[in-house]
Amino acid sequence: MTLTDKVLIRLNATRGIESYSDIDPTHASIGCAGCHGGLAEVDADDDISAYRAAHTEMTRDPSAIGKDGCSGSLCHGDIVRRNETSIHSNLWGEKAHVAMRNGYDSFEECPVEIQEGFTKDCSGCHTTCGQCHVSRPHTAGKGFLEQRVGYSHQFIATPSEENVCTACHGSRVGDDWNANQERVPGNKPDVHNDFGYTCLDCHQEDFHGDGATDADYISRYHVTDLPQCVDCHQVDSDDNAFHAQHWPNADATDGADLACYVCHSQQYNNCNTCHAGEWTEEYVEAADYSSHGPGGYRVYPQFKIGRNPVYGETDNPHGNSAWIAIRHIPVSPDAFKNWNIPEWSVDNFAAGATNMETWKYTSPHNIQRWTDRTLVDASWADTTGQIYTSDNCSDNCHYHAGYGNSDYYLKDSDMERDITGDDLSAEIEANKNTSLGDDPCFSSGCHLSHN
Amino acid sequence: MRLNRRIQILALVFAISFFWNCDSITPQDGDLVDYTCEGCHTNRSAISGIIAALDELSELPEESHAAPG
Repeated sequence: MTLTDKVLIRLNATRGIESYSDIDPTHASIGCAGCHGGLAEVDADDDISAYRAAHTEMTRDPSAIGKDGCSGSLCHGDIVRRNETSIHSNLWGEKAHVAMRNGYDSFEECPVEIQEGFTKDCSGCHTTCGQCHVSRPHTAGKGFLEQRVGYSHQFIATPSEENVCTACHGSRVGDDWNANQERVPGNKPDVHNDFGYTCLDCHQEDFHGDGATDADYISRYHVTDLPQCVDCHQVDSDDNAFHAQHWPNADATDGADLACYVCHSQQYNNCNTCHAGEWTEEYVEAADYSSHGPGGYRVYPQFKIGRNPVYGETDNPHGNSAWIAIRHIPVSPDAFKNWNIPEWSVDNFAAGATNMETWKYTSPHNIQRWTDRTLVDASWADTTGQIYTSDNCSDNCHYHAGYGNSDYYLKDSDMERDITGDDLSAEIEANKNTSLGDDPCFSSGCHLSHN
Repeated sequence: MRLNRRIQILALVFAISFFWNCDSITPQDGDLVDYTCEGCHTNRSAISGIIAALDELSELPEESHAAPG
């Protein structure tokens, strides 16, 4: 999309669209300068002079927090007030985790170097009213959501899945959901996508937030009323022996509870060795892992199962699953070295690594009923003719010496040399509650001692 | 000329008359005459020209980078 296309309001007199008031009479009555400031009309000798004069003190995004664009109006007062404290607008979870990874209980307690570093390198992912309802989010490249005649700069009540939701939530949701073959080759789109579902068919939580308590969210998974598989699929809990044995239940004590994703997820994007302050315009991926992208990060497809560090914590949204699907998140032990934090140095980054795991709970949006874990009989090929090689679902997961697939599980050796060839051994300590360690048979708790 | 042929030609000329004053897709293309918000932002050639001039002057607004979210 060219810069011209991003800001052009398309008219067509033959269709009766002669001015912006024909596109949106309500907001047009406020006037451009009524929201954006600047000068609605100028006298100038040339186009550039007119541009400079008109854009003086203009606000590109009048809906941003602290601006008066949408707030205080008789139409949007409540939503705007709640949105000011929403997780989308404030990145509460991201702030909380940056603080925790640096050893602080809250973002407010962080030294100024961390707060300023976050503002500079991490805060760009927040949204505003306009970045969901009028134009594409800034982190997705901006531009009006609709480029068609009669729809430019229209205020769209339900944001576009393609231009808003997955424009930001791209590599870890959009690529899964749509089975981007460049990122996750061989994957199928999420089955819900195949059935015509959109993001909002499941995500019915209020994106505008609940109000002041939103600041308590330490992750997106703590948002009120997030969708759960059981919202629709609880009726399937005893459909087969595997569901009967492994369905997560409320008491969460027998160690057999599996998160749905453990069986029904395909491979998904993982990221590693990311460093704050080293972004560039070009988000380069090394498909053959021969080099790192700008900032040092890699993106690669993989599927891993890990132990759940919060298993049994009944107040935790994931506490009812002993085994979970895990994803390496885009962080490294020295991810914040460019923020010049006084008490933190390269020699000290091991301490940072021990703070929190780098393989974390994930909810891949790439669900399939039949995966290489669940397809029991090789003759049960799907309609595309894809053949699964296993003939015993149990053998897929309960690996023992000689059979089974231990590659599904995160082990220390996966960090000593990961799939891209990187040495992530500094992260072993941080992931000790998720990894099966050096000796998966015993560290996992399946076998407590030699016989 | 045969009558049918004449009728066809007359019908064609009659139809063309409806499009004689047809505005372009972007009816206010070309040189800007009104330095107003809408006057500029509905004029493709004007916007493109201003952007090109700003680029030469290194005054283009900063564009945000896409983050791999």
